[in-house]
Amino acid sequence: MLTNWEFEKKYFLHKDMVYRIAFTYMKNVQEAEDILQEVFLKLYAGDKSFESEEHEKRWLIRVTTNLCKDKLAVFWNKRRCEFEGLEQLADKEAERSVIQDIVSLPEKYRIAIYLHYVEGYQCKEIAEILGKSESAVKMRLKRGKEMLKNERR
Amino acid sequence: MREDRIKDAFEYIQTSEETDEKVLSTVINRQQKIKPRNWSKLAIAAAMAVAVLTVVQIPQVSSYADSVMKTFTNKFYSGSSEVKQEGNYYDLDYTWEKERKFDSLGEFEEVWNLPLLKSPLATEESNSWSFWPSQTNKGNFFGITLTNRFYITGDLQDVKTQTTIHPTQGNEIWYEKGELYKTPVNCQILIKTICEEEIAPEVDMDYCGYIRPVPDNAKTYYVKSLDVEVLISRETSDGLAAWNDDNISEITAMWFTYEGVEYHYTGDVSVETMLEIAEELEL
Repeated sequence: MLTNWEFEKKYFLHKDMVYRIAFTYMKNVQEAEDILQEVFLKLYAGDKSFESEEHEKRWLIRVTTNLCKDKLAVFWNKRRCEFEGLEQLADKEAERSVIQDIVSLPEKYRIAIYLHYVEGYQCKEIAEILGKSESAVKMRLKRGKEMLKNERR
Repeated sequence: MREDRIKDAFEYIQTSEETDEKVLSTVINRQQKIKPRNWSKLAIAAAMAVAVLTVVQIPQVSSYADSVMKTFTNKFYSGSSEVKQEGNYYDLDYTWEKERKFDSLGEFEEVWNLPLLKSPLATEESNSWSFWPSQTNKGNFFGITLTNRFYITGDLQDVKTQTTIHPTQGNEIWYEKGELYKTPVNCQILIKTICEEEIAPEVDMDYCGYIRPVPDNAKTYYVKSLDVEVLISRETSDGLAAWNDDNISEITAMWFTYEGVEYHYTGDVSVETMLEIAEELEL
């Protein structure tokens, strides 16, 4: 069982990543915060041992994406206020616009784009994290980039 | 778009100090409230219960119908006409784990004594159902979602699946498209609990979708075998059915309420195939 101190250390190490992924999926500040809380509840309650910090990070990514998918899949969540609170997160129009373009991509492209460009993972690593083939991830990155280009025109 | 701009923009997304304080205190406090059970007291209570049951003939305590406390109404709009579906709040027992996976709907029925619609076309396997209770910030449960991501695989070819026991890990499926089924049809069953009604002030009901916009092309169909109206739409989506397939851009979604429980099916099949699925459903 983690001590409070150990838990806080882990929280501050990973919170922004979890929050960003949650926002990427949920497109809403309040719901991203709910996901953040649930993910760290799982980490604290789960008493799971990790082989390394990287192992822990990947577990958190996986849990966050699964939680978001399940929440989004709930039908009564279908009517949602997208981009609510975005102005709180990024005060400059330019940043807001980039974030909005990324999170407007279909889910399968946006998570691949996020993991590649923000977290710096390579295709093979993204494939391992998401449980997809490397070629599928390459395809998603390629199509995602194309869609972003078209969006910007 | 320059690629470094993506990273820079996302770095603006950070949790606030207020959020950090809230999350840390909620997680730590909630965890500390979960104390080890007092097994000796539980054992005495269980022994007393057995003793009472052996002496007194207690009738069946309750049926699922007795556990229905109140009803709610979902409103949908199909074109210009309003479609109302009555749902029930159920008083269900949450004494078991918060999230887990199950092999079949039959297991849920046994636990809750609540009959659910099942499809004879279904391909249930070990851990194919995930159980997900929705919870408010105050920790109250207001609904349960049961999800099977590949409930009906129809004529899909070379189907391979991988299920995990861990509730936070999604099940995976690999397949070749069939003639009728381009993807599996997934099933979600939503059960609202009495807690939702009790905690209504905590939840923004409009936000939660009480009056639900549905796609303009949603149409109502009558399903004779169930004697219900279902709503069906074709949706362009990157939703559940499309998440695992790069080539899916459109799916058929069907939803309805039956005996107070909401059912939701999605997959890349025709409207006719979806209606056939509905006609085959039975308790």
